[in-house]
Amino acid sequence: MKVLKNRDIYNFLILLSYILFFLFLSFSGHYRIFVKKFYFPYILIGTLILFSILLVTLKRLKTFREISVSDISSFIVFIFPLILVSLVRPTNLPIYAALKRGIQTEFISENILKSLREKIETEGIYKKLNIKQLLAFTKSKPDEINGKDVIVEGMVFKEDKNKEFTLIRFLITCCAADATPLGVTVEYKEEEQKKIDLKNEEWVKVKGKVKIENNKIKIIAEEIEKTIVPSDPYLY
Amino acid sequence: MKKFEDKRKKEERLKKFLITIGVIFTFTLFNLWQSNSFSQISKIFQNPKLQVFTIILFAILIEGFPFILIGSLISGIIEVFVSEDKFKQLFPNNKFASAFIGSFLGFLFPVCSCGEIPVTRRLIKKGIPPSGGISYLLATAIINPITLFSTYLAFSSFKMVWGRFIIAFICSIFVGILIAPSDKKEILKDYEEDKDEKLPKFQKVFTHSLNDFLIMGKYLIIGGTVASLFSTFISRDFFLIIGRNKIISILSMQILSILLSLCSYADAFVASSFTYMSSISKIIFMVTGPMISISLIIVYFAAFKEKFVKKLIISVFLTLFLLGIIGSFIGG
Repeated sequence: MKVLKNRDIYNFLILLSYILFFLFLSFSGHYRIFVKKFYFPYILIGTLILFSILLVTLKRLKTFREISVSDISSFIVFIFPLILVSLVRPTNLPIYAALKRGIQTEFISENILKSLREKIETEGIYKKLNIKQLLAFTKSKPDEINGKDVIVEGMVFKEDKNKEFTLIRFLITCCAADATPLGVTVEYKEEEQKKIDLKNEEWVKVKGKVKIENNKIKIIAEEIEKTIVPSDPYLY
Repeated sequence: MKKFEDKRKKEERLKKFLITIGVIFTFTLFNLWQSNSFSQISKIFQNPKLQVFTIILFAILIEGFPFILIGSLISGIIEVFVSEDKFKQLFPNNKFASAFIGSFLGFLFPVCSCGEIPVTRRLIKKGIPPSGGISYLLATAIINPITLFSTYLAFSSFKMVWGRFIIAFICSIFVGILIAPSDKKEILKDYEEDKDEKLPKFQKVFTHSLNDFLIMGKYLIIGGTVASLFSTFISRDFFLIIGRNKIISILSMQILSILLSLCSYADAFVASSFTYMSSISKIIFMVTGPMISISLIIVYFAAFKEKFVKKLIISVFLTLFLLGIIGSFIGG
């Protein structure tokens, strides 16, 4: 029981659990559910500092310093997020977040277009583009994209049982807190609707033709295929 | 004496209670894991609102913790290796000159909003004039190369970069001079620090870092939890709709940035998506958040005295509101 009253035991446990958690995030790549790749070195630096503090705390375990109520409350606060994340096990931002933030159907970026012209991946006659690239083309160079065959991936958001749905991807600058949902409308034929039962949150790969009307993009789907959540669900 | 004894007994009972609850909780979790009952319970945790809340909370923590740790380490190094005289040489005693220097320190130490709090605390403790410390605290997250470059990337406009820079600069200096007390004791919250003089210097650095990390980290978790709740349940459109009026738009952008608690490197990209807002309201959005977001306010209460934090929040909020109004008449 005396061990449980030593404040350094609690500090040691906090430090150890966060070191293990950060190491798990870094080496499994799961940190990308929460933040951009840019933060990876910072997570490692943070872990290194935690490890150095842990070594100093380890040395102090031999001396007994009695725990206070404030130390216990700190311990509870620090452990709460770790228990939460291990129970919730999040994978990526759901459609709910897109609806709360408002789906953007416009995006301007000349830089994307410049780099894209140099290299666009293709699959047969289809050009592989993501939602951000499609919206950037629609805004700046609609003639270059109108009528083209494209492949695009995203999450399904279907409001009702009509022939359209919105394909969504979250655009991230630093972390999931600043994620902006980008969306394009997909129209699919009756045969396709019978063939595939689409539900919200499902990830799909759409092959189809781009149609731009009144500066709004729509994809007329020729083929829709369900797919798994990509290892990196966000766009940057 | 009897009162003190009663308080001690009460605390002792509370401690025993909390420890017992903790042990029971740990055994229950272990038992659930052993009996594979987690898979049934996990359905509750698949709720989209809980998923969004958890993702945003961890986004804030994973972004904030490394900077709090770096800040705590810098703070520990300053405490152990840098003498008070060094800082007194760097910072003049004049309130204005000190606030001016403080607002530019971000170019030397581009620490993010969370990391600057332990550093500011230590700098003020080491004797830099409070006005310099306050302006450093307010300006660093904005007046640094990374934030200004990200603002340019988001808007492709130097007007927005200059606007953000000038408003952050004026606000940090003005508030620094306005609320700085003559005595640092009116700012710094007293908390117990381990003072083991026998320890080697490098161990002392990490002991100070541990103290700072445990205090700031705890409040970052509390602040992050509050900010994630707002971010999960509040619709951004609500603020954008009520903000069509020039003056209300400034106010609504200030409140939105306080509630969202975005990182100063990223908020420009979010601001640029508010198509219908005036330029000045977007700038005010990008300055208010890094100075007094909800997660920062909660950490401020851990590091500084309550009265000082209240003064800081009110004066920053009002100064930025007034600057926003002036800006909207000049050309926003």
